[in-house]
Amino acid sequence: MGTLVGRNIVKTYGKDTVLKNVDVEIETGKIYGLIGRNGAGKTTLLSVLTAQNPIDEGTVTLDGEPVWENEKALSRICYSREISSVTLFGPNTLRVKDYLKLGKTFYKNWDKDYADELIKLFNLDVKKRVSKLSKGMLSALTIIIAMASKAEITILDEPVAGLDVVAREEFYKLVIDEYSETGRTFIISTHIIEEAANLFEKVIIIDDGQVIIEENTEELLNRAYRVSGENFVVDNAVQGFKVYHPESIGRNKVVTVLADRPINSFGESVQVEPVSLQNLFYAMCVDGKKEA
Amino acid sequence: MGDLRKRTCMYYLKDAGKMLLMAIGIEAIIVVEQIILSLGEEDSISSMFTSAIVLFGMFILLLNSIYAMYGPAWTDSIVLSMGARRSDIFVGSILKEITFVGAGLIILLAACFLTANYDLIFYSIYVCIASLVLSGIARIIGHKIKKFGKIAIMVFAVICSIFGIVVGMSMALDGFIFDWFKFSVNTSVLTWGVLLIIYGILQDIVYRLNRKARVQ
Repeated sequence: MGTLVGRNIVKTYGKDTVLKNVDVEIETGKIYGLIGRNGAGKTTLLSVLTAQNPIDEGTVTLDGEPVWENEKALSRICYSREISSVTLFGPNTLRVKDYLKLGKTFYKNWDKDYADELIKLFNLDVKKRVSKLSKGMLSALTIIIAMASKAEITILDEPVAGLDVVAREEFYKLVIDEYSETGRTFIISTHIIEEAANLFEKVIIIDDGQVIIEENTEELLNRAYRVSGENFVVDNAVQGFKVYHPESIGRNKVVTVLADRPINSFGESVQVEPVSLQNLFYAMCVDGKKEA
Repeated sequence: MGDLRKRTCMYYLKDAGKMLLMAIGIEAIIVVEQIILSLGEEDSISSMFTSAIVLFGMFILLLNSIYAMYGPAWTDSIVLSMGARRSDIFVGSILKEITFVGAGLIILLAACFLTANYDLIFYSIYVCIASLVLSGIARIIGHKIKKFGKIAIMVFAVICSIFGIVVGMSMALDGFIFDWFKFSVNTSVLTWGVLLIIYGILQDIVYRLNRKARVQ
């Protein structure tokens, strides 16, 4: 077991502070989901945790040792990010096989047989140039590099973007199988929360450059509720709790509540339902939190 | 040498090999073209050898600079995204440049001796050293291109165009308007030493720029 820790991370691009005193702790041997709106700082956070981007303040350590320019730490991590089909100098003329060769060169645990298996699974033409690949095929290549790297900590940034539903299910199955077999740590950033939520042991929610939630998924959802009923009844029932995205429909009201602990009852006059991770995230992001 | 550095250096060495093959390939095409064009002409063989050596020197200079300029925004970025350290990339790219230029110099010198073009020996050494210096400058420009994007390419292109116009005009007008644009092969070992020191200073700047490099 090990821990990838980021403390007081600050990252700015020009005048924009993209990460604001972020603290995050990734325990090895778990599957993490990293969710956040576009521009929240997900990719930046992942890139600073993996030393692909320098931080302005703070520290990033793996088992107590700095990750920055540290061979021992970096050889345990694979951050497979979206491959661009266009470069600054024109179309990306590298072929799929060139990227796979790069993976073999740099990842010491590279599993060529597994990579070949995944190439067949995703039906990828290794001779094709990256500029000619569809969005789904680019995602497939990202996934193959991540999975075949066999890195102890494997990070995938929006791996399912562009994949059809069958390919997405194949990917989730791959992660579960690989996790069961090897106990690798996965950090998966995704916008398709509903599908992937079952995969995540722990979830990190980032909003406006700050980590607002870092918790066991089940424990988080056990204290999240959708409370509905008549306006004043709901207001009374949820008094003192963090309430998100209140919606009034005539005389009725629906709110999402995130309590500090699981609640047995909000009273008899209200209906209480569990909240999915996606709906909780939506409620938290659409409106700022407010005390009822 | 750590395992990651070894792997990074191997990658860059293979890249140097590909560059060398490209230079030889382009040179071969031009030589064949010249043979075809100069068939039947007197003394065509000896002049062809001379121009082949001069051209190959130019290819070493051009390819080394071009790949150095591409490096920060392209090759180095990909390698960094695969988990290499910035120090490994720095060492790897110097190794690539020196390997390519060194191999090119060996080919040039061999060609000079085999074709009895002894007066091109110093040219060969000079162009290879100049190639290293230019690649240092190109790498710095590459970092600026990575930071500022296409606008940096345009600015650089304009500067090169102006420089080319001034030099071209100087050389076209029988003699030179500006004496300091007069290019001659300087056989002074002191000059070569100064150029190598300049190369070292440029690489120090590249090292500092590289330390802040990120995957885009």
